[in-house]
Amino acid sequence: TQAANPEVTIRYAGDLPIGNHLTRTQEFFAKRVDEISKGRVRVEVYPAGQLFAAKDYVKAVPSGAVDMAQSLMGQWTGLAPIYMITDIPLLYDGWEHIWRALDSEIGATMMKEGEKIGIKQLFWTQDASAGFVCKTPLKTMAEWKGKKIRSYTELASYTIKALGGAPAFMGGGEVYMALQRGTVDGAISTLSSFYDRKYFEVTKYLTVPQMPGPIYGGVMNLKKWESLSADVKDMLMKAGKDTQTFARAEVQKMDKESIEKLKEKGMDIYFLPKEERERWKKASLPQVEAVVVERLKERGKKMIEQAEKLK
Amino acid sequence: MKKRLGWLSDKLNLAGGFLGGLCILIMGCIVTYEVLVRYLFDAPTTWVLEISIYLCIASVFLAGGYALREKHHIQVDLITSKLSQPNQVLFQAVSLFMALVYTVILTWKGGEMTIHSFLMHEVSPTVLNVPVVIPHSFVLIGGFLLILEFVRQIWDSVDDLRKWKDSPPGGKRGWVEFWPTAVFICLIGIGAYFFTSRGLAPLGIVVMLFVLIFGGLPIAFGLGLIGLFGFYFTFGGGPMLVQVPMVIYKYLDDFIIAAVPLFIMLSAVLSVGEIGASLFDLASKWVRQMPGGLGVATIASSTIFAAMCGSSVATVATIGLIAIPEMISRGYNKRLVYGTVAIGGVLGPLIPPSLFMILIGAITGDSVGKLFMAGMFPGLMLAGIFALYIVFYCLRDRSMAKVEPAPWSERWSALRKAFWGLMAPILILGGIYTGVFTPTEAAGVGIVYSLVVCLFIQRTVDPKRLWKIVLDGGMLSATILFIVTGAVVFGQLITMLQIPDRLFGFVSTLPLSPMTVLFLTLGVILFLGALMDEVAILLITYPILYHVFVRSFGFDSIWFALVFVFTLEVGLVLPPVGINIFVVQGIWKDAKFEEVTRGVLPFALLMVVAILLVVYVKPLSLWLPELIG
Ligand code: NA
Ligand code: NA
Repeated sequence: TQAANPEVTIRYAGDLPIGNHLTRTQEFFAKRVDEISKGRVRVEVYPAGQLFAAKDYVKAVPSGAVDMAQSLMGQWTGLAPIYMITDIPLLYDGWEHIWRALDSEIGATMMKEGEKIGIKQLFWTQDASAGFVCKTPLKTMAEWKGKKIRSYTELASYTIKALGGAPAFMGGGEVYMALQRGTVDGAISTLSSFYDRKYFEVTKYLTVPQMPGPIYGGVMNLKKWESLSADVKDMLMKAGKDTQTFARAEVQKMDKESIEKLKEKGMDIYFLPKEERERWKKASLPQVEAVVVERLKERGKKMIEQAEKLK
Repeated sequence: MKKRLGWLSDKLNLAGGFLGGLCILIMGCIVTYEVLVRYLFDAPTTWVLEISIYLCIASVFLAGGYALREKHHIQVDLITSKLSQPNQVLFQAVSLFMALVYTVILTWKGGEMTIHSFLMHEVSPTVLNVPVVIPHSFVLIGGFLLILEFVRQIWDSVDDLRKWKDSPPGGKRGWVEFWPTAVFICLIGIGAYFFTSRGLAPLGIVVMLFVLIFGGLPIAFGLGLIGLFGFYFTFGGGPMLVQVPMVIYKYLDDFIIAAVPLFIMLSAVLSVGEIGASLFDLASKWVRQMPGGLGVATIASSTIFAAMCGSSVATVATIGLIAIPEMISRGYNKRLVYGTVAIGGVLGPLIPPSLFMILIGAITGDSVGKLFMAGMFPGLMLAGIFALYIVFYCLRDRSMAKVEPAPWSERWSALRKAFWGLMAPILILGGIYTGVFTPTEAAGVGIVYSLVVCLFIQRTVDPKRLWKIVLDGGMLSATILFIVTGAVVFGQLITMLQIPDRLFGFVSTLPLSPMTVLFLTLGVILFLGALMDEVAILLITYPILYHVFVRSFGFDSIWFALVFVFTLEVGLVLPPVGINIFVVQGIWKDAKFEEVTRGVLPFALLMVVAILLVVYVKPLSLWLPELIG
């Protein structure tokens, strides 16, 4: 159904497996662009890290090695520390909260900052809600003490440490076996990945602290973007807006499904009550904030305050 | 001028080789440190994983030029070695030049990447916030080291060619003598032309693969060059070339890959440190009196050695060095001796730990632990089959002298001497099984353990041997990881051309069952195995085969990996390009290629038959991985 000779071709890379909701989101964008542009613009989707893995887009997109990527924004903090704001565990009370922040001045500032490092961000998407799986319960701060938890981001490791655990790093392919053999006690990751990677087979307890999962963005090489005509830009923006709406509905559906499926597999799922969550937040947020402020200075402090107000 | 260049290249690349090897030793130490503090004090570090990855990147690029200096980059000289002397020289000059072109672009684009990360003050998005310019700059440094050595070697070739300036080498035939080189260059041109159209690009890849690889270009650079041609001619010219360093960096920036140099360094320690010798001595003291006893002892010690070492070359070299003289002096048939030693090597990457399985894990993301364990029973089964064959062979052939049994005192003393060697597999496999460390960390622990044993307990390694371990380990790991870098650049092009999907689309239209396709594929692997290096075959074909068989046909990924590796390994002993055969020749100068080949072929045949067993008896490969996860 694609036009034989599109005016513009955009190679759009993603790192999640085929069938994953974020890959569906990529396909949705490609389809919307095709519909809106009536075939003038073709988006070729390369999912599952075929072209580059998650951590490589920070080099591949600004250099034009790939035109566009659906990229984990936490990976860009090395180039533009401002994206740390998307990644602060326990700052946001849930999806609605972080979406309000991304749709506000905060999100706009980040998008503008992206242009300084050579990317044009068209829209926001996200992976499923985050949680902690563990071989023992993680319901109170006391239960965190001395637990080795596989961490995946810089800020998450500060949170784990502040809660009393010991953040551990290891290659992605080794986590399942490390959990099974007790090399580590638990891991932070997204609800959907707990199911996809079968962590329920090797851990018993899941704590859901109402934490938005990793924030992604549809980012395009800036030069490629600037080379496009105004009407094509408009079409892409419109398709991006639709994609953002689609992705938000998807993720809420996904979270519900993941919880159901994990429950079915016999996981003990604990939704962190408000008071306990406040306690965790109080214990960890100041330390994480300190790291953010150190990198972002006054600006970071202001943005965190702004985000807090959007509760 | 040339002399000075040669001197500079020698010194710098020797330093690079040493530093590269040292990086791996340091990596082994910090990985062991991580395991200790995590296990003993529940205090994992936040830096070991990241620093290990940087050390791995550094080791590859620092030692790459040294490997070139030692002419150690793997190449296929099946065709080129048949050419006349002048053509060989010219071929080499052309090949080196092509490899230089690739290296210059890698260095130039890698330099751009480095400068960019420097100007942007880019730091790693991790707890450490390491300035990314540091790991990036190793691409640049390594590129310079390689260029220096390439220029020196090309200069040498050109000087050789000058000899024929006044009197053409072919005598009356004159310059016509050089027709094979002319054909070579034309074919490269034709291949490059195919890349200018996206429809013909796959054809271009086939032509280029054949021409460059069989034209004797080191495989690492040949594969990279094909990727580079594709990026340039098929996908938008100059700007796309940035893919070359980026894809390479992407692939090396992974802890699973960091396990490769660790396992290779472990092999180097075990080989140089005579740990294999004590194992063979133990096995021979206990079983030498039975028919073919020393052959059985060779297989048994290869099996134990394989349980601590992931490479076939190290297994053959280590066991062979002691087993060959022992067997020959006891009147064993030479062919049987060479064959036994050569085939014992296939156990190296089959019985866990395994280099091939790590590479597969890095490609597919499958659990390295499961992949490792899949090889355990098939490996032991093969060892049993080989041992039985040797016993029957010796029962039939009465000409071989019987060896008197060793006195019990000697047996016990051999056991005592082999104690530390026997502990190594228990430590490595036991540590993985109990979760004290992960499969990729196992190599780091193994290095530290065996170094401690060799340096302080058995005192088999002195500073001079340590120097050799560091250089050998660094060079071999750079050799293999350079093929990895070439293969990923090549693989990126394959992906961008969407060949795996198209190939599967094509295969599924054929009136063949998946099992038929599997057996046809295994046949092709055997064929390639006879002609090429196994690591190169794995890296080129596995991503595509995985897509077809696992993703599309739905075969079990662990089982398929095992079947693939099992089949691939036959190629280690198949002529004309069977690395184990070469290693036997390398350690025993009397061994003729033909003798080794004829000695090992019956074993290879047994192994081909055993492929049916691993294909049809799935629990053989899957029971253990499912048991331990
Ligand atoms: Na092994
Ligand atoms: Na071979």
